[in-house]
Amino acid sequence: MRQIIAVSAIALSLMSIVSVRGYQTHPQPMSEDIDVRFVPLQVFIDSGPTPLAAWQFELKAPDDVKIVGVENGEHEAFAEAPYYDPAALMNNRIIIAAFSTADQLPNGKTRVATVHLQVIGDTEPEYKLTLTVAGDREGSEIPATITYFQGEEK
Amino acid sequence: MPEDHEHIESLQRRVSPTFGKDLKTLYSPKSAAPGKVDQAIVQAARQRLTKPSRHRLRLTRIGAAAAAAAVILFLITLNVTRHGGISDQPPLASIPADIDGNGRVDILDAFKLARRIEVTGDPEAAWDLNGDGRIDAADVDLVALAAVRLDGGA
Repeated sequence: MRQIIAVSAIALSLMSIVSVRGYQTHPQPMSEDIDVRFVPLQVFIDSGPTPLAAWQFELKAPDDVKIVGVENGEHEAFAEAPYYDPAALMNNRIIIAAFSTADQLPNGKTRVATVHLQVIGDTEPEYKLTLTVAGDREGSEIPATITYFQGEEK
Repeated sequence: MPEDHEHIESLQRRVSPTFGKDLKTLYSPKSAAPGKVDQAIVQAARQRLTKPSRHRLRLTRIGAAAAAAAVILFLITLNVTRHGGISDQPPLASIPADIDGNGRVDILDAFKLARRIEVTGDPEAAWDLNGDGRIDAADVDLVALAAVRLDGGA
């Protein structure tokens, strides 16, 4: 009996150390005292008069924001879920991209994706949004601007 | 004790009957305890000897709790490890995904490969990136995923 107790105690200690290290690597500051809310971030690309066939952007959020999901854009040409690295989920940085070979493509300002975020705390976070590339139906790079709106669709 | 009896009997022969009777009463062995009392004592003793003590029960419970906690912590540790291992995918960086050869991998590479497959139907054999003998949407997906990878590609 004493041996079982001793072995259990040692195992318990080792597991506690390993678990604590694991949580330190992936901190999850969930607490009843901390205000946690979920907000959508609408991302728009304006390609002017040129039809938008492909786009890629990078989003960087503060440390107290976690990415929890990605939704497709509003135009039917981009109805499928965009490409992103699943490792970005529950982190604060993501690269999102999509293309379409459809005949009908959006131009002007169009919502290309909605990024769902978990925000910890009651501050309004600021995001760094960078348009990596936008392309036309020939695959040529085109000038475009990227903007975002935090909240439900306006 | 038998010597006492002999001594008393020899005395009884020499003293008056009344005094002898009193002597006999005084030195005769006490009657044994009633059978019920004996049984009750034996039963109580058995119960006490076979029933585990509180101390032993407490130790057993502590041991069981420690073992259960160790198992739970072990499972949590496994979960943390698995969660942290999401990005341990095959190294997409090793895939020759720079389709347009401009020195960087982005969504336009995937778009151009998709267009080439759609329009010509005869893409270069070198673009069979997953090595399955066909050049199709799966190869396009590989290029797109390489473009959005957080640890390189784009």
